[in-house]
Amino acid sequence: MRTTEYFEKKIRDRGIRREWCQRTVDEPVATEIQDDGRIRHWAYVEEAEHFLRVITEPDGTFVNAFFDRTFERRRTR
Amino acid sequence: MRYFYDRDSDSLYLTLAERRKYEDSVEAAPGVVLDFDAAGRLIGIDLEHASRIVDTGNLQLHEETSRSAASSAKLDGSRLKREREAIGLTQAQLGRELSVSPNTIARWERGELRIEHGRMLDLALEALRARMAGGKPQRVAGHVVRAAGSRRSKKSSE
Repeated sequence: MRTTEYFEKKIRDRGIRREWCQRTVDEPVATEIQDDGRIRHWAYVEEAEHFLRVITEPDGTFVNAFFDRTFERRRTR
Repeated sequence: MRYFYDRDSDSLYLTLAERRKYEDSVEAAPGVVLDFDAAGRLIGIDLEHASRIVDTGNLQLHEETSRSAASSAKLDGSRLKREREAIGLTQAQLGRELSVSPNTIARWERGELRIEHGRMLDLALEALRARMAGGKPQRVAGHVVRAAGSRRSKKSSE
């Protein structure tokens, strides 16, 4: 699992486990490619009761992760 | 308030509230993510491609001082003394105009007593300057400028 320093700091600060991020990338419920080529992956994390968004570079480097309320709203519409 | 910038991923995080526990995030605009605590209070801002938004080569947090705070900060004892002398008043005369004791003026000027309402004192000095320049009598609202613990000024404000 290749990561940036920013990713490591943000998952630590946000209390997000690395295995949740890996699981989200491996088994996403949705993905999107950003204009800059980065990829967004979403999956529901039962333990946290939130959808997790993980952003990776095209080469697979983990860039960022957060519990995405915006995605939850999108899904319930 | 603190920030963390990762040059490799060009990501910038502004921490607004350090002790609050993260709950979830909302993407306010593409690449702008707001972090909240469980009570819905904003605790941080996450910027993707930060260099497109801010000058990441010169990251610094500066306080933008409000007008009233700046005025209070600027009016210290030495400036008060300079202004009083420029207007041509003794400490006793200025004290009479402001309804405070000459001792209060002296202590303000020496920095022994904090000037509580710098903006108001500034306005009073401005009015005195205008009066001295124009030669017209003008009431100076001395009752609004008072020193903490000054009996005379307290009395005049009642």
